[in-house]
Amino acid sequence: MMTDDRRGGQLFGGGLFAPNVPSSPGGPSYPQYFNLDPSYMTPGSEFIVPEGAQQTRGRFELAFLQIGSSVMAGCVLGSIGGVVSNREILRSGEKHLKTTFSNIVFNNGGKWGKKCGVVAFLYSGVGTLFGLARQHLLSQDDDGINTMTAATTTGVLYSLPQALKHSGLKPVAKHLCRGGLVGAVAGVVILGSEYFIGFNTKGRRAWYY
Amino acid sequence: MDEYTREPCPYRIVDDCGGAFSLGVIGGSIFHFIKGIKDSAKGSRLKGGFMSVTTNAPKTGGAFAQWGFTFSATDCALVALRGKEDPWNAIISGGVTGAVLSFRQGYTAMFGSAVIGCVLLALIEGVSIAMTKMSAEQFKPVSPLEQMPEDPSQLGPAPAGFASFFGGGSSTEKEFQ
Repeated sequence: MMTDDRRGGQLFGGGLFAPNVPSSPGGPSYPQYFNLDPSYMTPGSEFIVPEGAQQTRGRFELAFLQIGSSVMAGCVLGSIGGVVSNREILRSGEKHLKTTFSNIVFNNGGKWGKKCGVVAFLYSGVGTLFGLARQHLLSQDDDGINTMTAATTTGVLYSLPQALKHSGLKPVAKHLCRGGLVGAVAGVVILGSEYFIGFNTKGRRAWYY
Repeated sequence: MDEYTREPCPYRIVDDCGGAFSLGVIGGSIFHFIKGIKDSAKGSRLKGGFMSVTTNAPKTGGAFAQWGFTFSATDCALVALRGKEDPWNAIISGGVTGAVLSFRQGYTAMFGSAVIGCVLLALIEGVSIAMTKMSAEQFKPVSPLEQMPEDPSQLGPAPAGFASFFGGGSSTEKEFQ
């Protein structure tokens, strides 16, 4: 019977034989003469991971990659921006052109690398801690709520030193709210890029799976 | 000796850069917070510490990130050039990193930093090799011939002189009778 099935070549049709594939009601339907154990084809785990390890990477495993890429991207963009904004000085035929150029590149690259790195550090740290707390206290999975919370908190924390320079509750609160708003918008952008482009920011398939 | 616990090589640069930045920011935060508290006036110690952290911790992180990036980039370049990963890669990249980071200070400073970097990385690698050797000792396979049988009844009757020393065997029984 099996050999006949294989030679038949009818992949989806033919009701001559009873299906030799154990099928469960409600499960995925397979071709009738499917000569393979369908338990190998269950969606989900495709890789063998060590016992106790998770199938996908969490926020902490990806944090260093995110921080490092932010630092490097900030350095490169800051250097380019510094060169572009100081192009008059570089064009003016200065005597110590090499030194001027390297000073501009190092100063601007360092400045923006630090800024972007601190933002990524805060985002990853808050996201990791909040995700851990949610997982252990409420036993909820990592999803879009974590991203939004981490992004908003990052905005608030980043604007905290600027806000503390003012005195009085109202200006401080205004600064903090502005920072939180910017962070929330960034979080929406991150979630949207995950949802629409499939841009993987968390090392897992996507937050909506 | 391949590395399985770290990222593969081009991505390792980014990973190390981020790790070094985080390390610098965390360490710098602790250091500059204490320093800021110490240096501030009496009424505003907490705020002074916080301000000190926000201005100085990113600088520390940036310096660490520079180091991590240069070190890892050199390491990966050496891996690609030599086709193997061994402690010499790390030692050479430590020296190169020291030299590159003090490039603007002149050749003497470059040489000094390179030597310091080499020695530091050699120490680190040596310690890690020693740790690996020590922890590998417990996984050393033991020959079945050297192993003691787990069931004492398999031993059979003990030789006379030896058994009396441990308080067992036929000779001891005779003495007590």
